Amino acid sequence: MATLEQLGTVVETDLLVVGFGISGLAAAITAKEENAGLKVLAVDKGCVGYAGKANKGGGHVAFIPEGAEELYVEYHTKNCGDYLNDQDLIRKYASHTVKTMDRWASWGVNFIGREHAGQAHAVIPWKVCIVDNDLMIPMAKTARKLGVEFCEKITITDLLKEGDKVVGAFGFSLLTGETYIFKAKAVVLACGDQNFRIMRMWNSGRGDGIAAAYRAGAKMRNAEFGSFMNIMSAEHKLVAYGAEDALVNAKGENCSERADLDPSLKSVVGGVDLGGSQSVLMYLEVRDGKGPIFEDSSKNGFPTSFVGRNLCNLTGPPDPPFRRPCSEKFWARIMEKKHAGYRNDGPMKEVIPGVVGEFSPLYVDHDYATSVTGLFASGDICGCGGGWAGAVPTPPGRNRGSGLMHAVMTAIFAATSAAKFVAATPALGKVDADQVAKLKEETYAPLKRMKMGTTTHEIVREIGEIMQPVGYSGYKSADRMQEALDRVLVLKAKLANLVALDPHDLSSANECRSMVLCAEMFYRTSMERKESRGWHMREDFKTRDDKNGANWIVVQDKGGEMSLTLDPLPMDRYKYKPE
Amino acid sequence: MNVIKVDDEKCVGCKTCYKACWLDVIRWNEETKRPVIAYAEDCVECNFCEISCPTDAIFVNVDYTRQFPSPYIPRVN
Ligand SMILES: Cc1cc2nc3c(=O)[nH]c(=O)nc-3n(C[C@H](O)[C@H](O)[C@H](O)COP(=O)(O)OP(=O)(O)OC[C@H]3O[C@@H](n4cnc5c(N)ncnc54)[C@H](O)[C@@H]3O)c2cc1C
Ligand code: SF4
Ligand code: SF4
Repeated sequence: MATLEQLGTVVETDLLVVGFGISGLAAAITAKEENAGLKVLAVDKGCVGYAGKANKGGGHVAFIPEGAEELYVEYHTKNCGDYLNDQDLIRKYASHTVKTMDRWASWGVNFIGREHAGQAHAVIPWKVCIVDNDLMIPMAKTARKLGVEFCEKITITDLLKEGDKVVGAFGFSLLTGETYIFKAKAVVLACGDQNFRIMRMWNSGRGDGIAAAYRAGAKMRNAEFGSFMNIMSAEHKLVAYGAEDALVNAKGENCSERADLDPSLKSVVGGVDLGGSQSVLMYLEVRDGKGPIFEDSSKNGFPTSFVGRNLCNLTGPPDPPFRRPCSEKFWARIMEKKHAGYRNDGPMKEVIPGVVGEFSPLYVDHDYATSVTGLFASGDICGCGGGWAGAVPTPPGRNRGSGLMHAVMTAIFAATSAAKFVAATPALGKVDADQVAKLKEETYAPLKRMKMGTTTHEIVREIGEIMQPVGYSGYKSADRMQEALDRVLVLKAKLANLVALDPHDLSSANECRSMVLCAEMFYRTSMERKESRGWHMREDFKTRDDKNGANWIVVQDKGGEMSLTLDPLPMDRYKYKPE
Repeated sequence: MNVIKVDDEKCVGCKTCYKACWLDVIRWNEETKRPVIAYAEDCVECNFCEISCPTDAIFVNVDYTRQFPSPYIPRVN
C-alpha cells in the first residue's frame, strides 16, 4: 500500500481556506487577526489578489445604517425572503454591516462615498457606497503581512475525513496535475457558488465546494432558489442594466407589465426588489408568439440616473467623489467592446433573461459552521444555505450590493469560529492513505480514458440547455421539471465516460461533476416545493402555501442517494408571521 | 471563440496578465518570460488581463457569435 507521501505532496497547516476570492481573503486575514500563532494557508485555482468575482462586479457595498436594522429585517422577511428567512440570522446580518465595513477598511479598502451613501432602496433606509475593483490587492497585501500563506493554481476536489470529522482536503495542480494532500485542523470553504457557466462574468462559480461538501456528508438547504436571472443583451450577452423597465415585444407593445400576470408573482419577485417577474413575463410573451423581446434603449433611464452614472459608471466618468480608477477602466473597456458588438445603431436591442444562478445551498449555523465537524463556510457558497435571506438567491436580485458585504461578514464569522476550533484541537487528524488512493483513482480517471468518451465541453453545453430555459428553471411546472431532471440523469450517467486531455481539462471534468450534482439537487428540491414562494415560481402552484410550505428542504447524501427532508421553521418563535 | 493577442515587442514580461486571468486561460512561459494563451475557449471577455497590462500589450478580440443556450423554451436534442 502506498504511503501519503508516495501519493502526492503533503502540506500541513492549522487552518486551510479553500478559495481566496474576497471571502477567502477576508477569512484568512480574520483567522490571523484572531490568533496570530495559527498557520493559515489559502488555496485557489486563480492567483492572489485577482481570483474570484469581486473585481468583476459593480463594487457596490450596501449597508444598513444604525437604527434601521429591525426595519430591514421586517421588510426583507415580508418582501424578499417571503417568510422563509432564518429571522435570527438576518437580524445578526443587519446588525453587523457597519461593523464589517469598519474592520474591512482596516485591511486597506477604501469605501468611496460612505459619507454621501446613496439610497439603495425605494422603501427602506438601505444605503450603498462603492469600492474600487482592485480592492483585493490591498487585502492580499494585508494577508501576506499577517503571515497568511498561499498556494495558487490548485483545485480542491474533495474533503478528507477521519470518521465524522474533516481533517484536510485533496486536490491537484492545474499546471502540472500533481496531487496535493492538505492536512488541517479545520477547513473554511470559501470557494464560491454555482452559476452553471452560463453568464460570462459569473463564470468561476462552478460549485466544486458545494459538491465536495455534499460528498463529505454536509447538509444542504434552500437549493430550490438557485436560478437567479438577469436581463441581458442577446447580442453581446452582457447584463442590460435597467432594461426591465423598457421592454417591448415583437409587435411593438410595451411589455414591462402584463395584465394577466399572477398577482402573487408581482408581490414578491416583482417591483423594486427582485426583478424576477420580468423573466416570467418575457417567457409568457414568447410562448404566446410575441417574441423576441427588445429593450427600447431610448426609454431606459437607468444609465443616466444617479446610480447608473455614479455607482455603475455606465455613461462615462462619474461625478466626484465617486471616482474609481480601476473600476472606470474595467467598465469603460466592457462598454466599448459591447457597443462594437451590437448589430446596428438603432435603439431597439434584443434582450433575453440569462441565468446567473447563485445556487448556494451549503448549510451553515449562526457561527458559520457546516453540519460536519471541522468544516466551516463563508461567502457565496452558503448564501442560500445560511437561510438568512429566505426564499431568494443571494445577493437578492435588484437589491445590489449585498454580495461583497455578505462575503466579508460571513468570512469574519466563519474564521472566528474556525480559529477557536483550531485552538481547541491539539493535533492534526489522521489522513487515511486508502481514502486518498481511492480519490486519486476516481479524480484522475478522465485522463486515462480513451479519447472517444464524453468531453467536458459537451457536458457544459448540455448543462446550459438544462438550467437556462425559463420554462425549466424560471417558471417551473412538474412536467417540465421532470423533463429537465431526466436530462440531468442522462448527463449523470455520461460522467462515467468523461474524458480529459490535461490538468486544466481535468479540473473542468471535476466541475462538470459538480454542475450535474447541483442541477440534480435544484430540480429535485424544486419539485418537492409545491407552492410559489420568493424566487421559486411555479405555474402549477401559483400561490404561497403557508400551511405546508413553512419548511426548509434539507438535502443530504444518504448512502449514495440524494435524501430530502423537511425542517419546519420555528415560526411560533419568530416575530414576523404570514398574515 | 475569443482571440487573445499579445504583442511580444510591447510586452515587458511582468506576468500581471497571467495573474489577472481568473479562469486559467493564460499560462506563463518561464523561458521566454511571455504569456501563453493556452485555453482561449474558456475566455469570458472580462478584459481584466487587458486593463491590468502596464504597456497595452495584450488585447482580447471578442467573438459575440458564440452559441448561447435556448433562453426560454427548452431545446431538445
Ligand atoms: C458581474 C458581477 C457583478 C457583481 N456586482 C456586485 C456588486 O456591485 N456588489 C456586491 O456586493 N456584489 C456584487 N457581485 C457579487 C460579488 O462579487 C460576490 O458575491 C462575491 O465576490 C463572492 O465572493 P466569494 O469569495 O464568496 O466567491 P468568489 O468570488 O466566487 O470566490 C471563490 C474563489 O474560489 C475559487 N475556487 C472555486 N472552486 C475552487 C476549488 N475547487 N479549489 C480551489 N479554489 C476554488 C475560485 O477560483 C474563486 O477565486 C457581483 C458579481 C458579479 C459576477
Ligand atoms: S479577458 Fe478575462 S477571461 Fe479572458 S483571458 Fe483576459 S482575464 Fe482571462
Ligand atoms: S501584463 Fe502585459 S506586459 Fe505584463 S506580461 Fe502580460 S502582456 Fe506582458
